Amino acid sequence: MYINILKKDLKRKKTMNVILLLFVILASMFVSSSTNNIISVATAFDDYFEMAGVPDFFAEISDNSSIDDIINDVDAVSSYKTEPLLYFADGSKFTHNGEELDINMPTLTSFSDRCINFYDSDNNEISVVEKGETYLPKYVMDNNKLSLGDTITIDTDDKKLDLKIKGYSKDAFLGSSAISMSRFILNDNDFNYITKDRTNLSGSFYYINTDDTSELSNKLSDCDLPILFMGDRDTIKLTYFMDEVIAAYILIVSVGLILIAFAVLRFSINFTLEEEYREIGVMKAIGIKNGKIRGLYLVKFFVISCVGAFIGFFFGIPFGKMLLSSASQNMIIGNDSRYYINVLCSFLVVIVVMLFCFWCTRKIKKFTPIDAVRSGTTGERFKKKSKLSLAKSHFKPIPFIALNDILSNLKRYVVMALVFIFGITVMMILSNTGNTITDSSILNYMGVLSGDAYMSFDDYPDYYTDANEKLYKRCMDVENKLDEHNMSATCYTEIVYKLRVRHNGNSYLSQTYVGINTDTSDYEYIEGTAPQNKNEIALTPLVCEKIGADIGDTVTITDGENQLSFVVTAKFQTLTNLGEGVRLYNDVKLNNIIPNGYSGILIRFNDNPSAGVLSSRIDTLKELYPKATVYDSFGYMKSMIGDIAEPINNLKYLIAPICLMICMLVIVLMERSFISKEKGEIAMLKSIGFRNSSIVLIHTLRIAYIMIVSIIIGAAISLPITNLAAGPCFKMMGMQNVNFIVNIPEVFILYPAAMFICTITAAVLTALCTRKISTSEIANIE
Amino acid sequence: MSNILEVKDLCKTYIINKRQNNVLKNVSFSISEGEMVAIMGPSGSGKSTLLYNVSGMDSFTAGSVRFCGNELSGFTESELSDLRLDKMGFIFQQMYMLKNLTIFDNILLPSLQSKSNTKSRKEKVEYAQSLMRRLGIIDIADNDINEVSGGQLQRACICRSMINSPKMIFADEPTGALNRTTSDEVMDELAKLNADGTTIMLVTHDVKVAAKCSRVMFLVDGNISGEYNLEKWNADSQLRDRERTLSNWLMEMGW
Repeated sequence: MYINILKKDLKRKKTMNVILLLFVILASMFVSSSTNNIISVATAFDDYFEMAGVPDFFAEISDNSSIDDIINDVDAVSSYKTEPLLYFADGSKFTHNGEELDINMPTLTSFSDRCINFYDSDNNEISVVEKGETYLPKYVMDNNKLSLGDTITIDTDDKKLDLKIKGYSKDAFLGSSAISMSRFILNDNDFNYITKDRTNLSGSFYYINTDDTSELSNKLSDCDLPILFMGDRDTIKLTYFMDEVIAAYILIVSVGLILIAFAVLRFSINFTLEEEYREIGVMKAIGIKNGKIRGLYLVKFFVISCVGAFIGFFFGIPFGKMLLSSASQNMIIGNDSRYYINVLCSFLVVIVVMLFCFWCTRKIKKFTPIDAVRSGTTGERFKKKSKLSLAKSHFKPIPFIALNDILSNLKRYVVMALVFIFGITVMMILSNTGNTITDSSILNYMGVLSGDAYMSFDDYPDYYTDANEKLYKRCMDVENKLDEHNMSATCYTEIVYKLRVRHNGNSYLSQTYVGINTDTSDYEYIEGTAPQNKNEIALTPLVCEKIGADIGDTVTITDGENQLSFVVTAKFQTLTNLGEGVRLYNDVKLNNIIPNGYSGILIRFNDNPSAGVLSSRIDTLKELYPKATVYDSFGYMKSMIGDIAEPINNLKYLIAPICLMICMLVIVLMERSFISKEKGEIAMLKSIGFRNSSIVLIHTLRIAYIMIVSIIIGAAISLPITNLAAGPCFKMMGMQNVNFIVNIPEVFILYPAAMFICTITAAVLTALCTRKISTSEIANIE
Repeated sequence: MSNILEVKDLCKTYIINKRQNNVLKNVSFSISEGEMVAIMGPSGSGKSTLLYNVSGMDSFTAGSVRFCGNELSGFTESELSDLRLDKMGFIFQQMYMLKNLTIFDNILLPSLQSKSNTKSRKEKVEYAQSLMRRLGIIDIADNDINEVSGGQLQRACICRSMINSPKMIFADEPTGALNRTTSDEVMDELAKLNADGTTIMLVTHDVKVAAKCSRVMFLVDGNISGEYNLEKWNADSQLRDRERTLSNWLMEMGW
């Protein structure tokens, strides 16, 4: 009997059953792909590092120095390997079709010397690099518009080498664009050709596996060898901060999708069962027992949920991959090996559907046959339906009916509003993060003063001695020259040292900055007050942690034979060098230390020029200083930490259409459900003279009202939610307090407009189905 | 009196499971302005189909229907909607109304939607109130539709059908779901409307209801098999005689 009733039911109530099936498919797809993604993203770094063989600790040593003795002295070290490397100061020796490439510190590694595994764009391990071929980072290809198969030429003083781009590499150690080195993987013959006859290489990387990274770190810090850079796995992880931000977004989207899936499921089951009340009443009236009636619906829902979950499982796999595709082009985040999670989630959806169904059908026991026929109301207490009065309002009938319908069935529209709010908020969060990360104010978080233009010169050896005086004079010269060209500006710079800071027996080698023609109080600090005297110092939280110092403590720096003491007065945040940094009071002179470089000349125009004027001034600067590389603030930031706008934009371009698609899909399905339920009322409206267009308008307006409210709520909560969602990601990178930048036209006009247009289009197209309802279907009214 | 509705050779065919079912077969009749015509006939004879076809609620297969001199088959869907809104009124056996609106708003709705009804919003509200007062349901104006009785609801439907002062009201078994007393009250109201000049065409199974009409058409198997003219009813005292004569005629027709 069950099968016969089921067959007839599936045939007769095709629309509602198909809608329920689609919702189950949607739920299964979202839940399975999202759960898998959450697990993949949460374990991505550890999995990737494990696959690539990233060591527990690493150190970069310049020249032919060796730290083997120190490493061997640490008992906790289980193994270590070294990788020789050759790097160049900039990309000037690298060309493509005769044009110089824009590459940050190109670094060459021989494939056979590799100490970690590299992966290609398809996440396959690179097993061979042929002679004349190279793999390079994706961001280098993008920045220079290079394609697979292009040939780049390395032209050193005495040698020339042509290399064909075989692909981009996923390099777990140096792969992030936040790392200043851009690694090219070469065939052994090519590497040997370039390095032959060189008395020494640039240095080498040490890959060390140890159970005690702090002991090794302390010992290396105390030695006087030229260690340029060192750290543990967490330090490498920090270079992937953009990927962390993106991964966090995927988590948010995934959690949101799961919530949507369950909310939508609950809606559709309740809605479908309401349709059935009358039949339940009839069955009860003719004497069929409660258990059997309930069983009938449970069997039907079981069949639908099984079919839906099965189909959703298959759709979930490509959907999950699509979401993850934007996660990172620099690393491997895969969900391929976890299909069992998709299966479990689809199974979970079946269980949830059955629980919802069991819960919804519990009322069957309580109803008398007549209660059920009355659509589940007992007849003893009817709820007041109408919320507004047409007679008392000034509304026209169509907008009135639409608004009154929403207010009278508020619960029904809550799910729809939640989906809209979710979609709009996710898009706004992404926009806020993207705008913040690409705004010039981000320079404040890098320990750099914001300016209008930046000029970098390849002349820092000139400042090995008397750097303070020479750089001050340089700033003045630039200011005077700009004045002559009616571009009054203030110029400043920073001398950069690599100094060892010591406190209580701990030491740490850190970038140290001394401002020229500026004041320490001009910079932003997250704690304490700016150094006011020559014996005061500001440290980043990372340096504080490494040497165990805090505000008020005294730290020492060695200047030749002099031991200089400084009181820590403030902490500041920086994104450069993974959060390491020390700031001395302005114009402090360190006579016995050769500077590592200087930050270039930073220019702040005094008349606050518009974007157009600024652009033309940058062109003028390029003419005035042909040997300098001139940047605007964004370009300067890009040169420091790589192109971070691209990944966030990639994610934006992927997530925004997904959000729009989900909203449209939910509208189509829910609106279809409403039409199916309101067939009788639609027919009645037609019978009293409402045109098809008026009915389409009523249905569209209902969605539009919900959309408008959702947009307002979404816009209102977008900034706090951005703080909540993206704040922790930035915090991980040492950016304790981030003021998110809201791009008003994008956040409050473009996205809402896109969402509004898409959803309204979906609503209109779906509502057009009402044209097919004839007035004779008036008998369907309840 | 001129004809308000002229029906000629009207046919309606449904195809069910590839089988042709001719519900109306060359039906022809006309109704003059101010008439109150009842359509009677056994179940399945095509009474409601006839009503829906001549009122533009449903499309017909062949033939001609002229309402106020205009051929309905030449009307677009939107023109038919406007016709139903402004010139026709409908009353159904079940009291169909929008459940999210109050009784009063349901009645007022067509007048606010109509572009031909040139009264101000205030005048429309006052007119709706006057209709409700006339039909004795002003007390339930602010009630929801599930808070009132069937009779009250049917009277509200009559008010709604009258709100745009239509030329003709179509009623499909308007008393079918009502008890005798309520049924009489509703028919009295329809008769009053007719006395005021509104043409009415109704479908009924009830001889008592039909006896209050000026003409009765008997439909069998999609054909009008006979017509019976009654004088215009204007006094309750005549009612019993009218019912008796009508019953006799119906028996002759095979009722």
